[in-house]
Amino acid sequence: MPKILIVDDDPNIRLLLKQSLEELEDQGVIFISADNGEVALDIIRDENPDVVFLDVMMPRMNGFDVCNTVKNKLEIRDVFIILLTVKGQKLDKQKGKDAGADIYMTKPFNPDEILRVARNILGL
Amino acid sequence: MNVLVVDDDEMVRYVLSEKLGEAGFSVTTAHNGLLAVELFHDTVFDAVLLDLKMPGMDGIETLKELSKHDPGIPVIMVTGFGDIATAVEAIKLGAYDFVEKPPQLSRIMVTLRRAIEKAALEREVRDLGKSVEESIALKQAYQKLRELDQVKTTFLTSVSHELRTPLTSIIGYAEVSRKKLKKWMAEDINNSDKIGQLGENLETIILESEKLAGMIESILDLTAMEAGTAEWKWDAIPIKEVIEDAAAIFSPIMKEKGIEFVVVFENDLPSIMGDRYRFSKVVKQILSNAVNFTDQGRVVCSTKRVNNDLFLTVSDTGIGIDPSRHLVIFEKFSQIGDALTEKPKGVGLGLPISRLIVEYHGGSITVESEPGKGSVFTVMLPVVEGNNI
Repeated sequence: MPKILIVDDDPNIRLLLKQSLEELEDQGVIFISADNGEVALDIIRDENPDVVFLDVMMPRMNGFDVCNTVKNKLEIRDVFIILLTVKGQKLDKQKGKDAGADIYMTKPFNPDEILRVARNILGL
Repeated sequence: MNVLVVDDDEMVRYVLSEKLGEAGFSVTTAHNGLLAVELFHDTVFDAVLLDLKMPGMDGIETLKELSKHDPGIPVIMVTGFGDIATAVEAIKLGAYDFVEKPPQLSRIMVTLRRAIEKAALEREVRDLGKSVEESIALKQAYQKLRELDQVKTTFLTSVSHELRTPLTSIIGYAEVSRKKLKKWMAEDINNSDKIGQLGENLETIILESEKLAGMIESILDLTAMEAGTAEWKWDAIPIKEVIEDAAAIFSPIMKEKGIEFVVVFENDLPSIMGDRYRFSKVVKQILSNAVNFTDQGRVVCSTKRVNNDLFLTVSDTGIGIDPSRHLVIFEKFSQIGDALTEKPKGVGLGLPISRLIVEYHGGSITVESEPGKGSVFTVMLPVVEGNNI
């Protein structure tokens, strides 16, 4: 069963992402969520999610660090990471690339776009 | 070139103004020292030809007066035969040179031109000196401005991030809900659970909109207060009521977080004159900080009067504040760290706004805190006598 991990410290955004992706549940997709980077990292290691929607601005461990650890240090390859952050920060884009993110999406996001991206990655 | 000719001899005045006029100077004449000084007040001259011997105010006196008014003005003394001693005195007093009567025009022209040139050079040197000083001051001001600009840019970045966070929810939930509604209507689904979810989404949209409006209000309010355009109400504030109202808002949040919340009042609280709405914002701000930065333990809000001051103290057992930040937290734009890790809550203008409000009321707001041991915020306000509620 495909797994999608949703990481954001704002519960509203977590629920919003979940609702955006909701119809994938009918196709057997399982949703997991985390409210900070440390927990997210544990889940990625233990649960092996296929897709991660990862917020950048989070306390304790930010999205860049999570991404960097997963892709460059732990060298986990079979996870698709989508970094989510606020619009228009050029520096962030470069940082995201350096951290090894697969895609970079901006907030505010379009829920249909989120769903389309997830479908493409999972081939559903 | 404006030249002033001062001479009591009409013939001399006539000849000089004719000849100098022909040579391209613009000439004004005065028949005594007093008139010369008067003319000096209204007109800027490039040089003065000044007769030494005049009835009434003589050349030396006139020279002193003119130099007082414009120390840089080149004055050429016109002296009679045998007046050398006085002419030398004039030079000592700052006259540029002297020419003897009867004035030789060619000599006067040369002296005038040199005098004007020298005065212009001196002016330039003076201005240069000034501009060196100015450029150092300008450099420092520029440096300061650059620093401020940097702080402002960082602040705006973090503000725009904070403003976009609720906006992401608002737009997102509206989109998701619209999509769901369209789908359910097409499928003719009339499920109360699903409709309930739409209600929750709308609730989120409303709450996040209010949050966003609050942030915008904070920014505008701070700007208005700083620009002096804010409107202030001035009434007797029922302190106890305002604090109780604020406490009632935070009581459930404290309960939910498992924090003990104690509110204490001294028996008879005096009245404070001021803006009730803004004062209540201060109380809510410090209570909100206490609850936000405390995960366990307790928050105590106590109000008492000491002599002619009212003290509102909110102490918590939260994470505390590093001593290096005790003053900075009341400065606007201070809520800036690495925006990636130390995520600021809100736009970070709460305490700076509180400080402006309290200071407008003639009071002060201070903090005592140690990291890991909690914080104590104290608002001190002067009591207005004879106005007890």
